[in-house]
Amino acid sequence: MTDAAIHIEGLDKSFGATKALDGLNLVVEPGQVMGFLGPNGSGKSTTIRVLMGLLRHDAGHVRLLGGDPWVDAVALHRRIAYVPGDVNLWPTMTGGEIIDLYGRLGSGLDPKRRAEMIERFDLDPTKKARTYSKGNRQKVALVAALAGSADLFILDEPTSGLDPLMESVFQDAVRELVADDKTVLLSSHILAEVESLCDQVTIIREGHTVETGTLAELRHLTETKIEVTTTQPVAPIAELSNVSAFNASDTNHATFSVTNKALPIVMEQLAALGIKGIFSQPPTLEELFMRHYAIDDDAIDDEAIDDEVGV
Amino acid sequence: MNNSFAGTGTLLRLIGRLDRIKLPMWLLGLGFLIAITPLSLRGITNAEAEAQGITPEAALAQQATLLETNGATIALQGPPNAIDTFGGRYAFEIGAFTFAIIGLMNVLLVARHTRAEEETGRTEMVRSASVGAWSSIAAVSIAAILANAFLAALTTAVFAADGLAIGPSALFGASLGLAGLVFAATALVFVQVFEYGRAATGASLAAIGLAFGIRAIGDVQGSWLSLVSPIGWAQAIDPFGDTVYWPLLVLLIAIVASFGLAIALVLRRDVGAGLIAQRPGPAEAAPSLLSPLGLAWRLQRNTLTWWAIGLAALGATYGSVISTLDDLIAENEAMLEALEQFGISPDALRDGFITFILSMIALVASGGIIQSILRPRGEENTGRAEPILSAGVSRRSWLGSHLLLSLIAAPAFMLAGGAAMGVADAAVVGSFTDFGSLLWASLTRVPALWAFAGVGSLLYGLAKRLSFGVWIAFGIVVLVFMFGEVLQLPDWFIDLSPLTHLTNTPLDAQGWVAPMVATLIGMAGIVGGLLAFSQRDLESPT
Repeated sequence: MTDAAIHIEGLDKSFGATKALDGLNLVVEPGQVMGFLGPNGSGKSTTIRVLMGLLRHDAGHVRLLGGDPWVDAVALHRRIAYVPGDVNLWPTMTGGEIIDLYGRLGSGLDPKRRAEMIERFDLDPTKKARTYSKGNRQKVALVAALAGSADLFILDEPTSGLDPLMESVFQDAVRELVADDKTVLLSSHILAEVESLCDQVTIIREGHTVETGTLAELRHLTETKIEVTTTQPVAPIAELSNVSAFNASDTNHATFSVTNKALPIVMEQLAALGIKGIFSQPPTLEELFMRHYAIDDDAIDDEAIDDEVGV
Repeated sequence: MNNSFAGTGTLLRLIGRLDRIKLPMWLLGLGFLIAITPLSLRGITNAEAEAQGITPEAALAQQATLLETNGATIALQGPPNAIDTFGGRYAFEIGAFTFAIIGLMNVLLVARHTRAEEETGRTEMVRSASVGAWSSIAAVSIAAILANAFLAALTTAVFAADGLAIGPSALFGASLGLAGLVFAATALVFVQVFEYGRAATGASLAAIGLAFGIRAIGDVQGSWLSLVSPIGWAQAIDPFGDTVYWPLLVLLIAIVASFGLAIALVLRRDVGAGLIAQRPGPAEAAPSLLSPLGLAWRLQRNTLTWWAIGLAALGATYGSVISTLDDLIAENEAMLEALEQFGISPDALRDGFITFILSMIALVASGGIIQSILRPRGEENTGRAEPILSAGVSRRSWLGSHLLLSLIAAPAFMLAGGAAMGVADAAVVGSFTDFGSLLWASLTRVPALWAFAGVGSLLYGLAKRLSFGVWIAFGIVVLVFMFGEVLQLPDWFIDLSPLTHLTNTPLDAQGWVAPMVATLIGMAGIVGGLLAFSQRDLESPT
């Protein structure tokens, strides 16, 4: 447990009367790329700011590379590279100067890697930061982080504002980090990015963890869409529990969703009705997230889900 | 044409909403300063007249003889026009300094609602939402016109309520309002020229300082120089004496011309850019930048340098008139007699002038120190502190670097002002005999600046939102220093201001207790601020 790169358990943080984090859990093992997901305002950035020692937590257990993120902040920062979601630069300094500042004050900077990253991200380091677009400001922070020798990378929506070409440069760079056994915590809204980079994801909502596991595991928890044509009337299927969105176009043809947990039972029943044709569609990642992001979704039974994943 | 001003009304309401606290505070404060002058002066004069068994007008005339020889007062307040009348005396007491404060209100108002908004990107949203290119300028201009009209009307009402004729009262009110608008219009131009809100504000403040300084020299010398300054124009109207009307026209022309220039310039630049173009910079950071102190210096050096230059200009301005003052007194036998009658030596008058000017420099320098102390607050506000504090820089070394610069800036500021004053005086007189004592006298005020630094860093360390309190403390000190006597503030209140205890040289010797207490307050505040800052949450960018 203690050798996790990030270990958060029962983290609470309030701002006045607002409870930003409410019993949040997050564990990232060394060498892992953890996707950190949640709707806007769910507490992702607050969690990251606690990890960076910028905020003091109210309750719970937080360890970062075996240290305390508040007490050991300075020592830890030499081993961590951090890219904030909103990169604000000094307008009169050049991008190159700021890269050096972030890098040299922080986790170090390898001149060769620096030059290479500037090249790959196609950044002009002689321009004053005031002339940079949002994407270019993001590149400055990314180059500084990626050109260093950190063990842990904490990236808070690092690619917001990047064009698709730069997005792929970023993904390549993260894959190289993985090859080097680095650990990455990646908060992102770009699902394709998460899908292609992350071994594991943690989804939070309203300050607490609602889901954690591999993408395959998470997929398993959701519903499969089924379109079926049967020899006998299909209506009895609608009566089964765990079947939803049942829509029969005629007596022998229907579309419906079924939770993957209940799939064997439903298939058994369908077989009894005589399947003439069947088409099934696994849940898209989008649907997976939408299910968790929706604020007023009573259908979600968090505990049942937790039971199953074994959290 | 119509489209260029589309949405002005909406923007004006937005300004009203964003400024619902700051502008009313300014207007209330200024209104109070203006209103309290007749109230207290008439009371003081009546009491003095009764004690001597003369009419209040005769008492005024007596005071006038003294005031006319007082270079320090004239330099601060303006030409002693008709100061043997109540109206003239009120106008004199309200003075050039109040004109400058009104200018400050206008500059900050314009800066707040133009470039500062642009820099945060809000203007782009507003402008893309069917708002004309000139609407932003128009809206802030209307806001400035309303604010200055309010001050003009209030002044007129206060003077009229005191029993003065309505015509001259209104004329004086108008002179305040129009001078204020000149500075608002100037700020509008600078806002277009400079790429940066801070640079535009700095240039506008320098314009106020220049306007104030030039007329100070002109007024002390009794020369035409006063007529180069908008404040000089406004004060040349002399509503309670030999009234002239042409300055009103000059003020109006200046306002219209500057406003027209701003409108013309806005079309020539892109939103967010200035008219002064960019050059590429270094691709790599110099080693000197790569430390918390190096970064703090890089961020503060321009501001600190400009403050030092401004203070040197202020010192040189007044330094150049010290010898004029001697001549003025020596040539005027009636004045010499009057001085003798009141038991004042010409040397004491000269030292009094220097003492007052050095204290004013200390007051202005305190503003610079507070701005420097609050720089970390700006870094936290904009989110630029966060990556640095996440990059192996401890809270203490980050904040401590900024505070160290503020501490060093205090003596540097005072030396800049004092040395420039000494050099200017020496240049006129042809000898450096007073130079050393001037430098020492300016240094005796440094602990007052440190006290501000202490208060500011303690408040900032405790919570970002509290740090504004140091400006309130500064406002109170300005009030005590400039208007303490006129307002008849209680002694204990006047004693709260560090400047009260640290502004005696060269007129009187400076004791050791006050500097030590002020230094102690400064250092304790800084240590407390550092400790508190290390324990609190860093706030998210606003």
